[in-house]
Amino acid sequence: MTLSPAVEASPSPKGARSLVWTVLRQPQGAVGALMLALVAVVALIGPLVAPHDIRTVVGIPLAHPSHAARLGTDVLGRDVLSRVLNGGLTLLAVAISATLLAYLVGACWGMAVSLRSSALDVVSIGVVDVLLSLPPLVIGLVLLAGAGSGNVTIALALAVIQAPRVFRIVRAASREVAAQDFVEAATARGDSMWSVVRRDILANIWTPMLTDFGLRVTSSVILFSSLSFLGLGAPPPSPDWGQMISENQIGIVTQPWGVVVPVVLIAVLSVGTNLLTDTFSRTMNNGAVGGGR
Amino acid sequence: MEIPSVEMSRRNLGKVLAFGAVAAATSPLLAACGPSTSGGSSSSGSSRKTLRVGATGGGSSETLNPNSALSETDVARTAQIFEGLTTFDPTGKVVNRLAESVTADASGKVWTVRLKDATFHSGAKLTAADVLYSFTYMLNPKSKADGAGPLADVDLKNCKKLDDKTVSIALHRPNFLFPTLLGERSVVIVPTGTTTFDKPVGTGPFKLVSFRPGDRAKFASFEQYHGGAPAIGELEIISIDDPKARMNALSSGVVDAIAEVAPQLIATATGSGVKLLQAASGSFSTQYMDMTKGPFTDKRVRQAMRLLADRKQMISNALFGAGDLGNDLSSTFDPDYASGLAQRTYDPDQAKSLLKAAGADGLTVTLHTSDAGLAMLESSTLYAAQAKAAGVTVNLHKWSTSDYWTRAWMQQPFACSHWGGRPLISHLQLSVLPGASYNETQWNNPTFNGLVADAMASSDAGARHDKLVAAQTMLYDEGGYIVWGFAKNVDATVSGLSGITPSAIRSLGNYDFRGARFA
Repeated sequence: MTLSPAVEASPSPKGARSLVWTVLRQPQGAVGALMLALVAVVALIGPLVAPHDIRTVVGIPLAHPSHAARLGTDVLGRDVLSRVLNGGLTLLAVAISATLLAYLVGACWGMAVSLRSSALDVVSIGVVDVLLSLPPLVIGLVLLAGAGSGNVTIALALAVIQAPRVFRIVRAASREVAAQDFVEAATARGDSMWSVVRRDILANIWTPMLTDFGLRVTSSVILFSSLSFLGLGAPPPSPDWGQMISENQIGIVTQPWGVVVPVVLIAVLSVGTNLLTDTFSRTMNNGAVGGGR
Repeated sequence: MEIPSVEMSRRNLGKVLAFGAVAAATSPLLAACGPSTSGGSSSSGSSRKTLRVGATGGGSSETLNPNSALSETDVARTAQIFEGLTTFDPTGKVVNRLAESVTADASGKVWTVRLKDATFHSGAKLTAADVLYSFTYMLNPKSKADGAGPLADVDLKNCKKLDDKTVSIALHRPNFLFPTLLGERSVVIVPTGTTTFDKPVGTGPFKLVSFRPGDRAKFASFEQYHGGAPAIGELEIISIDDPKARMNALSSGVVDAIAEVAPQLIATATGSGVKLLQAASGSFSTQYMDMTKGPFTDKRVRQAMRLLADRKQMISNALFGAGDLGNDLSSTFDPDYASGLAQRTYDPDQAKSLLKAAGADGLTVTLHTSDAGLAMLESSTLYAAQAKAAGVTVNLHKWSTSDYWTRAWMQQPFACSHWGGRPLISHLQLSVLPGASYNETQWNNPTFNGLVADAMASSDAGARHDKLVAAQTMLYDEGGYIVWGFAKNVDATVSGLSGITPSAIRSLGNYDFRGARFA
């Protein structure tokens, strides 16, 4: 009964809900969640309340904060506040769609090899190990340099980077489940593979998958920002935060806000994620899921 | 064109690989922090004898060959060692350098050059034979010399030495603007027999002491220089690629002068101990349309696109005010520049009606751009926003600096370019005349070609001027360039350094340190 949280968790959403509450009751988890929520609010509500268009020139470049531009102007004379408020949505949209795509490929692949022949499993692990040995940023640079940058190509590049990682997690989790008697019984009963995956595997591994999904989204955000900073992000006038840092860094002495605000937002996002995922993994390792406490 | 494929991409490589470039740029600085070993103490009174200059380098491919110099440090270094027959003064006017006089016969086809009494760093005297050898060397395709372009009209077989100090240069066709072409920085005089530039020998004010590509070159003043030995005893030209690192090197005293202060950093350069050198220049980043492709075949569309550039805003916001308005023509400092044409202004309404007349209202175009030239990306971003006012959608396709010149430039119908400051005739020869290496707009107009050929063949300066103005008017009316402005040459030095006159041609007085001295 104490072997694995994934197996122990009941197939109902109750296990996940209890895991989330256990995490949020811990101060670290609560602070992390709060930080994530803050960034999400800026990204989602921002475009609705931004005072200016992201491409409109509102004054001289690198102007200090004023009534017209609350956080001053950027390196081209556009409103920093409006660009910050508009910069998060694309970032989150690209990161989430890239992660969904990575899951679509990585999770299906991982569950398939855990149920099927060991030959396929060995080959897949080999391929994935090769992919994982390449630093993510290098993969991104190569793909984007070849295909040209844009939000769609960035999402695809991020998916290529994340899919092998998803594969590893899902494969490991579902192998443990697949070895259980009830799966063997279902297979012997003649249930279709799809039915086994849906009723037995997926139902048992979706809690760790959900946690991993959150982690992947944020690491995608950070990768996207890094690529943007290196000049491989979406073409101008895209206001995403990584690009803002890159564009405005030359004026940091004169007008720091164009750099500081996006830096803080990205920092809050990544620190928040780390706090939250740390708490999650600790909670799960302690076996404090389900009726643990 | 400054053979942009390499020069410009290098300049901005720092942006792509920001951390690496900063690190690479800083490491030579650390080495420079040591005590500057000032050599002789022959010229007393001056406590400082070594002038240290920082400029954008070109990494390991930096060269001392004046005929393949690309990066700023290449240009700065070769300018110390080598000299041409003519050069340009700070206003861009042609003046003699190694030539005592340059005179044409009545036809403009034969030029007589009388040489100054100059000495090479090797101790040998400059002679007419060296001039003929240098021309032969540059025109030999095997040399792959940049100087072959400006000398293309030289009829080598009919060039001859008249006496030790006088040479007669024959041309294939009349050209009364030949002295201007002799001033191109690649057209230098080397000693007879020169084939390599590992140990470069020239007639310039400084001779080479040591050189490490990507790092620095050290020079010593040349005591027998024909214009008198420079006041500065030693000179170091150091490669610092990142604009911020360059500024930091100056303000922390690691170097005494830096070339090319980024417009965004001008405001930070006004502190104590630092002074700015500024000169109106002829260099510009531009958006251009290929006149043979898509909507741009229609003259009215080109005119509309030119009316959609808010030039004033581009100067104030892309160049931080450190620039001058452009009128879709080059070489504003040239005496033959068509200064009488009305300044083109931002006029979305007229652009709209021109587009409507051309059946192109609601036009959507893709502008290919990159961070490959000063304010290139910034001006393109502003242009895209400005064009909206006439219902024109300009989508930006941003290329990396390393890919831009090889994969987009001269291949896409609407793209950007960067040009260094050049006299009018040199610029036209490179950009719009038959055989131009960089005919970005695919301009090909027999009437225009005739006007320019007539101008070159005209011995009367007034008639020449009129013909060149007529030719430029054609470019102004129908051409494919959007020349919105010219960036100033902005450099900075420590306040104790004097004697460098800001130049329209290039940074730090066209890298002329002959008169430089410390207070």
